[in-house]
Amino acid sequence: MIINLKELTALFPLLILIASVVIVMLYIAYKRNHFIIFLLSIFGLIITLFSLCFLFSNVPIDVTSLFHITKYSILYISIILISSIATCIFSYRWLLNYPFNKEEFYLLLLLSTLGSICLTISSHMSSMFISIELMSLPIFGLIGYSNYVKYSLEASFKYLILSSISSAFLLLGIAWIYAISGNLSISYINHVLLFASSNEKLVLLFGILMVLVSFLFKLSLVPFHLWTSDIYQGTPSSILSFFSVSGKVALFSVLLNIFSYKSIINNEILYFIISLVSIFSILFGNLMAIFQSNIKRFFGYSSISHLGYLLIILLVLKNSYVFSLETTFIYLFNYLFINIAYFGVIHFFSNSSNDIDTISSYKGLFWSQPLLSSIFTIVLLSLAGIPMTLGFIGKFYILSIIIKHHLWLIGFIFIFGTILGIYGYFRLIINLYLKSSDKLLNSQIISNICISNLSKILILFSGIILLILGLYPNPLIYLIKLTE
Amino acid sequence: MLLSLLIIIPFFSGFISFFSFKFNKYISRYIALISLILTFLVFIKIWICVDFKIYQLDHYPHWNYELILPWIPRFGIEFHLAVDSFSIIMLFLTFFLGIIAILCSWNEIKKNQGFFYFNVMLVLTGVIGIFIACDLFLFFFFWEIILVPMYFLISLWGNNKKDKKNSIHAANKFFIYAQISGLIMLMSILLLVFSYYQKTHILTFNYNLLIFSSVNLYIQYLVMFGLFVAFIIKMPIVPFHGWLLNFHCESSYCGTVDIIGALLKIAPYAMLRYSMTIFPNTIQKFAPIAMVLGLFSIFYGALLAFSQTNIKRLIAYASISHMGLILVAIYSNSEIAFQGVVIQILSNSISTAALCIISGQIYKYFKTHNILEMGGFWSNIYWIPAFSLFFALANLGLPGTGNFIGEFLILFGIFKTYSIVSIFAVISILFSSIYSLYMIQRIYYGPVKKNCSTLFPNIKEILILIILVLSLIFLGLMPQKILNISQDTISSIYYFQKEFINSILKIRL
Repeated sequence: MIINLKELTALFPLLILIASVVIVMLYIAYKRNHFIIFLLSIFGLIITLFSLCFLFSNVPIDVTSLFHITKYSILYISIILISSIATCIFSYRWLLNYPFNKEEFYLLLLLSTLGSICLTISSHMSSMFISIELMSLPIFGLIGYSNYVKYSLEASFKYLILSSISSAFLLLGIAWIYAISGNLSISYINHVLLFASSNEKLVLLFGILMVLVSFLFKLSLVPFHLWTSDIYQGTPSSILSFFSVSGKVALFSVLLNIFSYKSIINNEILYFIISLVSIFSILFGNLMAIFQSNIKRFFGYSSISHLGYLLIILLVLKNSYVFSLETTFIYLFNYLFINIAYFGVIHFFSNSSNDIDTISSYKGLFWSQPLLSSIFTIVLLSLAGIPMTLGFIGKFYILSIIIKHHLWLIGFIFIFGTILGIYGYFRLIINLYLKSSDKLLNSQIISNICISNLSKILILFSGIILLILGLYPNPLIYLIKLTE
Repeated sequence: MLLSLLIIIPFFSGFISFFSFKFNKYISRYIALISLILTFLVFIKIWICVDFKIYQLDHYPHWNYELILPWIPRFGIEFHLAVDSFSIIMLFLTFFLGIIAILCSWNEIKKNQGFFYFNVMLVLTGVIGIFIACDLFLFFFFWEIILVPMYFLISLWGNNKKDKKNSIHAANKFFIYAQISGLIMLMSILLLVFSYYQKTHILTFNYNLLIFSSVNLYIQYLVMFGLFVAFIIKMPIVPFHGWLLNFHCESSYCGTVDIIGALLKIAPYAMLRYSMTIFPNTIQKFAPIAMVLGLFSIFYGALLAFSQTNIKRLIAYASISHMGLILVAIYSNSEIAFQGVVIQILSNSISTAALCIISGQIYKYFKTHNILEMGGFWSNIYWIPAFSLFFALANLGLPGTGNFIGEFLILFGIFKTYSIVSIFAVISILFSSIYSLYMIQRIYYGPVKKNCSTLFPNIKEILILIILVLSLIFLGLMPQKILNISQDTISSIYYFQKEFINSILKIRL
């Protein structure tokens, strides 16, 4: 296999990330220093983020048959990188009080980021499988990192077992596909599906369905969502923002990639299944979110519904490809900053031994921490899709997709789900403004550490981005136009 | 740029009053009031500079003053503000009631003033924006913006200070109804825009362009129906009136929220401005349904108002009843009725706001909204009973007040086109007189149920009430002043509709 220089340039971000993983590993072996490791990993991630600029002139490009980089995948990669940078910053303070080895945390994070990035650009079933594994295996470690905390080990094990089952499904699906096509490149599968006889088509379809099941599991969509809330509850909040963004962004971009091929998209069974999954995810996610009393479980359920909204995009991919990609990016961008700010705020009130995660303990936060809770309010409004926030622009895009293609049933479900969701979000919002009975939260704030200020700035920044881009989304749209 | 100041000043002053709370506890209310007066001055400047002459226009979208800035070019969305004479009247009402709302809560709101005035200013910004938006997206944007601060105003400053549960429930109900309305409206706007795009390949939300669109009939009906549902939820008309009662019951006793609620006469405005002009030829076929709904809510509101024991609920049902009349008038296809709607919106807002202030006063002194616990207040309080008698009479349409002119014009106008509907609607006045007099009788006359020393309400409240009385009498005695201003827009909306229908008939023939 020969790689020419152009392809090597395209792999540049990956190489930098791999190099930083190696450097971090070697430095840990040489000497344990939490701060240096933190700086190294942040530095590696930021360099990777900047190296994405070199890619713009080269893409779209096929790097061997395994990877296919487009301009949109650059945007997704940047989302993943921003999310891991934020996680690094949030985790630093959290790890300061951690009694055991702190440094491996960053290693796991970098590895998982590497996996997500590979997944985003993979165009071959084998690279896809390997990157999914590379992405999830470090995450088991991250979830269980604070294994002395209640629920943490449980969550880690649950995710480990269920994730391996889903990987098994993925492998099964890949095997079925391979039995017919003899090649695992996605474009080739499309090719085979176009010309295969009907029996072969059935086998192939079954394979694709198995792959889809595995994806739906990882994206935590109905009916494979049951793990979500427990794992969200058990995971430390600093990791959750990464866990919830990177995996989902990467998987969704692959899903978009698979569904961009004509014969897969035109298949009626797949269309039916996707629309059913989308409808039930929207309804179920929003409905269950109302009844939660744990703030992390709440987000777990609401993320189900948000991915349900995103899944609508797959239904119209054949008719307006560019517009749906734009929608996806705006929605995911919104999702990224929501995650950073949401879990950042929760993280702010937690120490390494436990998170403050019951909704009632955030009661009256506004009167003691006006700025943080204003940001929190903006985030929740953005989740609910109220104007003046970026969430509304995302909702507007999705609604225009629905209207443009006359998907009336889904439109109705969308409205119903949004109303249900709004009830849930406003329950949280009003909770922030009521008079609190205990002063529990105030005592938890440790604001004299300078890194804590850094994470405060990050929260503030993402809140302001949600607000400003909601009022004036042109820069974001321009960014997408730039990539076309 | 003057037009943008109308939005910018209240919006930023809201933020300023929010942050100034830290420096001085009482400064935020001054900032709110001063900024509102400043905005009012800007508005006066626009009013004087732009000449609103009365002349017959041959085509409808004629804006006296416009501001167009690109906003989201990807969707053809512009920051497009425009003022015509109808907007001028509605803006005037907004400022008038806005200033009164702030004065009302002047001494009453003691907790978290900064946040309170922040919300009030944000609501006012949204309402001003709705009245001058000329882009459907912008209109929707402002329409949605007012909901969140409204939600806070109801839930955090409810009349029950100890237990917030009921207020939150009311706020949730309000918000969910409003969201349903908003989403339906957004969907129909998008449907309209995309059908227009399919036909002309211009992606635009511009009102001036969209009202001349001729998309196919099926979509026309869908969009028209969507807008209709969205607006009647906010009006509210009977099947969707559930939120208004809780909204009134649970809102703060000093009446700010109610006044702002009275100021939410955006739905009839939007109905005249958008529903009537976007697809005029579908309106005629739909008119009977709308009229039945309107008539039903006139009688439903009046009958239920009669049986209420809570003053605020009574006021709420009365306003539902009046909204029914406005709905009938809007769909009556008569120019005089349209003119009546303008007067009725003004005078009904003012009289409802006044009744809310009075009920707030009563609540302040006697800590109850329950009519059954009241009685004989005439001897207990100075001034208030006389005012409430006046406003109750005004509410039922006593000659000499604005409501009379409004109702008269509406009924007169309807009679020309739908005479039977008009006859039914006339009967409603009988009902409204019953509940108004009943309310007055039970609160102020009869045996004294609560013994306490005679009270003298503070001078500020009385001044506010006097201003409201004067404005109602002004509307009643000199409605022509208002009619002159609104004449050109209203009649061009009316003739736009007519011409459109005629042109279609011609094509068919």
